[in-house]
Amino acid sequence: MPRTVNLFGGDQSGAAPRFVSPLDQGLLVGESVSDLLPQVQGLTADLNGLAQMVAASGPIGGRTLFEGVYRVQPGETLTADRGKVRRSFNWEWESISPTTRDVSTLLDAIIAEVDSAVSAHQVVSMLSGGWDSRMLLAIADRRQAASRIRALTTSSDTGTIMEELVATQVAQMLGITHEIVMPHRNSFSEDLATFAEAVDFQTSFHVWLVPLVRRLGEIHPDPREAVVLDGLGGGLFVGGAFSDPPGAGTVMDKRLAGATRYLEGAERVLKGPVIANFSEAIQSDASDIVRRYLDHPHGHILSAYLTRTLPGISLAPHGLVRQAARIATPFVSNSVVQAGLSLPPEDHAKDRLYPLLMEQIHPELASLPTAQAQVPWPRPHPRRITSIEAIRHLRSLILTDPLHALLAPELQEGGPSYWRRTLSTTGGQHLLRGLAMLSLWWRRYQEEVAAFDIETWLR
Amino acid sequence: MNRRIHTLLTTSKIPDTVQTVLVPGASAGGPDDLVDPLIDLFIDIERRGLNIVLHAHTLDDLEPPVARVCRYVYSSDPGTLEVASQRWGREQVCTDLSELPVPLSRTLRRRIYNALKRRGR
Repeated sequence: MPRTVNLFGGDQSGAAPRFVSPLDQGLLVGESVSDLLPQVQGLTADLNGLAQMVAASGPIGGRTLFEGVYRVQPGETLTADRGKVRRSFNWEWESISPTTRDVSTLLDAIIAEVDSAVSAHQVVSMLSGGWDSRMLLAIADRRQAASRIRALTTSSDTGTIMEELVATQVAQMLGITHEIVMPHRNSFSEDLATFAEAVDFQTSFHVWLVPLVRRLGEIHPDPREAVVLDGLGGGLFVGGAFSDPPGAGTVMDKRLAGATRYLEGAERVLKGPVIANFSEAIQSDASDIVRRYLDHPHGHILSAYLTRTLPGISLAPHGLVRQAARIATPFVSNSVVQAGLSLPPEDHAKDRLYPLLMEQIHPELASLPTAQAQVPWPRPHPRRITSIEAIRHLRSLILTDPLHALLAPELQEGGPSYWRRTLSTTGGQHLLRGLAMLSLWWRRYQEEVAAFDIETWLR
Repeated sequence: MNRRIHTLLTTSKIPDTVQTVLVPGASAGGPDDLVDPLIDLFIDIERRGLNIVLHAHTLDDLEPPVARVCRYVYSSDPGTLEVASQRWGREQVCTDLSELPVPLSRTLRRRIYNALKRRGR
């Protein structure tokens, strides 16, 4: 339930969302946007936040989809000031620089965080075919009886079953009960709606987690019973994800291009002025962040965390999964981040820390190839989102007013095969998922939002 | 006998010409659990990008772990086809194996590309 305070300080990670809105007397604080809205006067859409949700990962820099409702950022303190909000920052992570090449502190920090999270709980691992979930599960297995641990795996809808196969190998090596949850084609629309409500319509990343969370609720009907280990941030603070790509161009341009990459090929989906406005909306907030960390040795990590992990990916564990269980995200704890950023970028590059750390935890798992290392090209299987069932639902959401006006004529007139080809591209799929989310948001709030001038995006 | 369709009866290597691997349902003596050496075989099949088809005779054949990594269902039982259509999607269910598409990894274009790549061109 929301509460009213005069001052609110977020934690250093900012991963578990906290939202605030100024009142005449104080600040309204809650764990979800929808909790706050009944007390927000004159609900107005934040067009930049909406554009960032559709075309980037989610609303950036503390925006939400509504003006006057803010997501507390890492290290941020907000103070009520006569109906307005004053914001100040003291983010310790940005002061961490490389000081060592010894990985033992990082290993100790991860182990300590997992130990503390799993003690006295049933443990559920969201086991994929990658390094992060494997590492968390292997550490938990050292501390907990195997009978108290369970692993669940689903398809992340990338057109391969390698994730499920490698996850099965990992669970069998550890002797852990493991279940593959197959997402059903006929529940696509229900999954999308469930996800949308759970994350306050703020991102369309990781909708594929819904079947897994539903299964989790069947196994542990009481959400306090189990703790879920989630690998949020592992790719950044341990792995080498989002390193600056090689090639020509300034670092600034490369990092901004990363923030707008889903707009590549957007002319298949959106009208030209809409693409330009969405790009502008993303860059207007992302450029401040990228510029702030341009000379930081881990600038690519901090920028990606603030523009991608936090606005979008964090909402899956902390919005959706937390409805079914306690959630632990050890890789974004202060001690792990401190240790991870104390190592130089070249030690993180190409994920080379993972096997080094895994060797100390479980040598056999250190040498087991990840799913990513074995994924075939071309991807062999059709994705659920390109199925006729999903296409029908997406069309029913997107080919309606007011979104219709934003769409490229080819998309408006194109049949299912055009939509399927578009959904088979990374950018096209992201934009169509985002537009579907925008449509669901509009259906949910159209009676309450006083101003949503979609024409602005066409100018 | 169709050289492009291989029925998974043992865990021996799948011949190079195969496009589709037919996995018998558990009710017909097919595999149930995903355990070694079956996992290694599935990883090899997946790396080669082949169609993986569950041959379901009954509704129960749709349940085991092995069924959950198959991406097509082939059946002649109407009740099984109906449930499979809901879960796998209507385009992933067939009553005739010749309806299946050529896997992308086995198209002529891709095989030529791979051959040239192997020669370092």
